[in-house]
Amino acid sequence: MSRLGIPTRRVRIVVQTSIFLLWVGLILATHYPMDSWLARNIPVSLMLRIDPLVLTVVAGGMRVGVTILMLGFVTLAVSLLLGRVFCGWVCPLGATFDFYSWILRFFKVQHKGPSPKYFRAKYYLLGAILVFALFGTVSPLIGLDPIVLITRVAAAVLQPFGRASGEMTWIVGQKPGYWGYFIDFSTLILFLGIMTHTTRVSRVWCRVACPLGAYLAATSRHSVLRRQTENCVHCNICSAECPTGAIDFKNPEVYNESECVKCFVCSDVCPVDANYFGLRKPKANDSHGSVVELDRRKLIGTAATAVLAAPLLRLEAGEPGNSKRLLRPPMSREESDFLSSCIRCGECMKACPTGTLKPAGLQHGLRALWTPVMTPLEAPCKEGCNACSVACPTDAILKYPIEKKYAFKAGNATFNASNCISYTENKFCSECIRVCPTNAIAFTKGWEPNPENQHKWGVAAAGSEQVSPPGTRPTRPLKVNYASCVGCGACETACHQIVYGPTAMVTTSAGRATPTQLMDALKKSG
Amino acid sequence: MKHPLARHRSFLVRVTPLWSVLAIVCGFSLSSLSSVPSSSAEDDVVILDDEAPAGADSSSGAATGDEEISISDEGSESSGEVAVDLGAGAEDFFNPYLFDRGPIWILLPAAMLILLGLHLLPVPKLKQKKLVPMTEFFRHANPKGATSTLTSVRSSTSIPPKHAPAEAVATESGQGTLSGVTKKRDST
Repeated sequence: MSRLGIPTRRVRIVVQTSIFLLWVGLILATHYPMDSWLARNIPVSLMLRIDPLVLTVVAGGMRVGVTILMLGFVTLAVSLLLGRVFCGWVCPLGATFDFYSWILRFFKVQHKGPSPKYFRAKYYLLGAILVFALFGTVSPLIGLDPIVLITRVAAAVLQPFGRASGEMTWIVGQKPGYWGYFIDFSTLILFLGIMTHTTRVSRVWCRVACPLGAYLAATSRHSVLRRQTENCVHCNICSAECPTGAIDFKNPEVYNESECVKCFVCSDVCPVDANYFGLRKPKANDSHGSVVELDRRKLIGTAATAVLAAPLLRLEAGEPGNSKRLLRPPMSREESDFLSSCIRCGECMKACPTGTLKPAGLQHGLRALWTPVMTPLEAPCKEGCNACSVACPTDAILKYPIEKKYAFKAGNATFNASNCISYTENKFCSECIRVCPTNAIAFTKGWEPNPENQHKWGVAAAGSEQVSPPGTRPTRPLKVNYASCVGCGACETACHQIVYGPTAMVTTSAGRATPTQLMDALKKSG
Repeated sequence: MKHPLARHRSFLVRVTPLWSVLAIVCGFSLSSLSSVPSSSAEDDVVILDDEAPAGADSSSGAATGDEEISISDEGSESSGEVAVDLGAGAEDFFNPYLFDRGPIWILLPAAMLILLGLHLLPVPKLKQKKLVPMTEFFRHANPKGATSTLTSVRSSTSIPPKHAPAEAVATESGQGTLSGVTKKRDST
């Protein structure tokens, strides 16, 4: 209870719960065809758009102000004024931690009070992220941003289980000899590790490793909403209850403004009502009892490491389009821009109706970690769907109307006759022809003369009793018409369901259209 | 010694409210700008001919397939070209192309790094209330003298300190080092 008689902690819990439910609603609404009331009225990636760290890193990394991220300035301004209110009131990962602690309380599990000694790690992490951004690189470290992290958990860890019921075209273990990755194990392990550690220390991620928390801590050092104490009896209850360990244990009157998330727990639990929050000007020696005081040598070392690592990361990624098997979603920015704007949130994977978008592992380099890649072996890119572009919070996948989906191709399919059962086993198979949305593979289905076996019985079609007339064989896939192919991967998916081992149809990123390149060229010419 | 940037920090403290208000105003104005349709809509339209520009030769997509897929704009009468309006069509009212690419955006992470550096500044120790010397406290409590083993008591009594005071650095004024001050105090 505050001095004004407002139950500030309860108000905070109500607001925090409401925002968390809104986030859950938006996550659930991030689903093809995006026609729910929420998806139509609120940007599904709203929480990521108000993240100031995302704004800073993407705008700095790409050297361009992505308009949809400008809401981050509002959060930044609020933090300058009121401190880390975002962490205590808005952040969905913080709400998850608080809810988890609330559950633990029922089981009489006691948190440890003080922060670990390495609680400054988040500042080094933030320093590295910012140095990377200065060099034009969005490093995978941005994947540790709390909103990005929890969104990716929803998209790449929880979502596949929801999709498996009806919409997933690929099922675990369906094909012998091929074991695709079902969920993003790195994210799962990271999240489980965080929650396990949270059992011991409340909000340990916020205290130790949250780069957004460090960002807001640095900006909120001189905020005007501050904790004040009067007639404190030094019972240390507030120190023990503070979820972020911001209050000094030796002297509870001293607290660390940079660590305070304005949860108002201290003012609620105080037995003598000595704690309260109010607007006041920060003083010179205000509340810096156990403050950050980073090891400057370590921070400079971190920055130097990041400076050295930034070009290495870029080298590792190589030139855009180097890896032909690296398939990006349609209308993605060209590779270097894509890597500078993708924040690894997984919104596109969440929105993808077929599940073809998966987070990349290390197969495409460290820099591409957790970025979305198409996996046509498992599922194709759905015709008439632009859900990934709508969901993308940073416009790494440019927004486009559905009817123009195939104006920019995602890649090209290539045909390898030596893996096609029509050639190797002389069976009738035209699955790739059947599923191709643009008729890019073959011309007609039917029978063709069989010069090798002109006077004998026809050839049986694979999977059916249908036999071709004598002297003929089924029309076989001949080639891919690259002008028509859009690189959706439907042929590869269908082929994979027929053949064991390497598929005859392989989708590559060769010939991928790069919309930003086109735009720049046209602007220069015109 | 006072940190050379300490005065700047006190300046920052003073201007923080103004800074915050300015940031809010900028933020709201920018976010309101984003809902305004782009004035240069023509720049966002990409015309794709049959012969696509160099470097993007394969971007005509499905336009030439056997089963022709109509992807041209309704207003476009020419069947040979495909117009893709990148800024329109999507239900999202934000326009992603309001700002051009420019080095000025590097200021965002740079400014944040500077702010993080300011966060690094050594913090002056909290001024604490001067504690009542234990000797005076015990003198009031027990006028005959206390049996405390505090250093202050050691110096006032004849009990030798456990550790000898550090050697004084030879400074004439006797200032600037703890050992010098200690020796001066001892000699007096």
